[in-house]
Amino acid sequence: MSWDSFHFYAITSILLSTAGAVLSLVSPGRGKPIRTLALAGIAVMAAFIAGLWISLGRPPLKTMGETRLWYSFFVLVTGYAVYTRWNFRWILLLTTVLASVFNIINMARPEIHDQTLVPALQSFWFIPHVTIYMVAYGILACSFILALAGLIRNDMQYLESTDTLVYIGTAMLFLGLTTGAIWAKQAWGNFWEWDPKETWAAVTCSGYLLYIHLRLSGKKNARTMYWIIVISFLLLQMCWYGYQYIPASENSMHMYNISK
Amino acid sequence: MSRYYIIICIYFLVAGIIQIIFGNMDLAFMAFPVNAAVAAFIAVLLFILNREYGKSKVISFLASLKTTAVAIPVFAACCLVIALFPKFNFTTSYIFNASLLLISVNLFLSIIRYKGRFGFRFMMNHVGIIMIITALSLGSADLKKLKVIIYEGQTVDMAYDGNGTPCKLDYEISLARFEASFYEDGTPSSYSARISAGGREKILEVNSPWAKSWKEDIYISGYEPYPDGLCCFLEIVIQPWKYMILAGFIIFAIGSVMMIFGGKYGRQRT
Repeated sequence: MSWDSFHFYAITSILLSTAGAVLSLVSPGRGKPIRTLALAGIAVMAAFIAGLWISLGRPPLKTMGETRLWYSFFVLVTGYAVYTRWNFRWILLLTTVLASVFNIINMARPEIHDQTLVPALQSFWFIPHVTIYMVAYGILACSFILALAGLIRNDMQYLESTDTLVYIGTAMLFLGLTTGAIWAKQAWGNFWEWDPKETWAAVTCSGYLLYIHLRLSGKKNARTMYWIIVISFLLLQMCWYGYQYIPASENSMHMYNISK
Repeated sequence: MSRYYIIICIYFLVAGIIQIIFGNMDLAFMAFPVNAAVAAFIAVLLFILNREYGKSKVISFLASLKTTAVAIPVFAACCLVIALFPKFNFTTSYIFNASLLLISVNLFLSIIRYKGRFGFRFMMNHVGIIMIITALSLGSADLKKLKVIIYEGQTVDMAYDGNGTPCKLDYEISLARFEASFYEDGTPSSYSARISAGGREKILEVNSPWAKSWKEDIYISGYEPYPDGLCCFLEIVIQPWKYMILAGFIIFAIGSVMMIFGGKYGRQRT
């Protein structure tokens, strides 16, 4: 398995996921075929990731392209989970579109690397730290989609769903932060060094923490809550990849692409 | 605006004025035992104030979600300054530390006053985070990082701090062997150093430091090829608050796992 065959898997996954998403819109009562198609789309992505992992001899978690694979995968998984739990007819379509965007970017601009893994990334904490964050990003992407829907429709019915997604996603951000801090102590000598990515992670967590605490205080202004989720998700994008484009982050230890 | 929010504004204004007059904080004076005494003093003071005046509006406000709703965005704003203007060294500013103090006061009071139904999960999350904040912020005054430059076969007893100032070690470090392997394109695949210090020997690798004592770890941080051979860079990190920080993160992680499985609070429903 290599990036050469990615097009086949990506297009197959997009087609299967889209079929399930369209079916959920036009025939929402046909739950089993919808879930089967959605799961098939997820399975195809999983098969590519597993095959790439085996062929590389290491987890595909080193470059932006490889992390996009996991993001696409977990957005599909989270969309499926949200659909199964909350039965939002449109969620599958939106998460399919989101996952497809990253797959298309990967097809148009493949970031192909050899098996090089620099010593700094050779750690037990590598997989849980990055994978937990990928899951968190997927879950919070769904909360973002629901918040957007709430803002567009001016409807507060999504708040309960966003509460659940934000709790789970934020908790996973915390776990990712914890695994990263322990790894940082092992690798760099301190748990927290205010590295640019760490700092943006703190800002991101603060956004979602604010949402949680405002909701706990009884705030029911749905638009304000939705906007906090939207802004927090944008901060999450800064934390994920946006920080690299800020001159102040040039010395960050978290740059994904390792030059040969 | 409630007068308590005005008080918080005045609090940060005072921090700003102090910042302008004195510049950034000098961490040296906060070294142990001053930092431990400060933490204990604040905790005891808050405990007594809560016991004696717990029903007062001031204490209730400081413990409330209203203060949390101010403290979190202020902290986030401070983090943005750190992220966008790293040269300001904002982490040692009075304003940033005032935000940490406000968060810590809010956390401590909410911990000792909590009566909700998610007791264990709440405690794990909040006790964990206050341990992390306290140990990282106050403990930073005791953190020392020293670099050692050593060739294979060499024995040294000198290290250098971040300013390049030499610092004599209490022991000698010997580098018995340094090994590095490379991929075909020349990038390093692994490197290790067999060192000895204080009568003990250890092989250092990246991500595998030597915990020489309860507060001191030795890391292999890099190497540089020279005509005479490979020069190995070691880093000695002295962090007495290490285990408190680690305990805080573990407790915090337990609370996070409970959040994942427990989901949202049931009190808030639309």
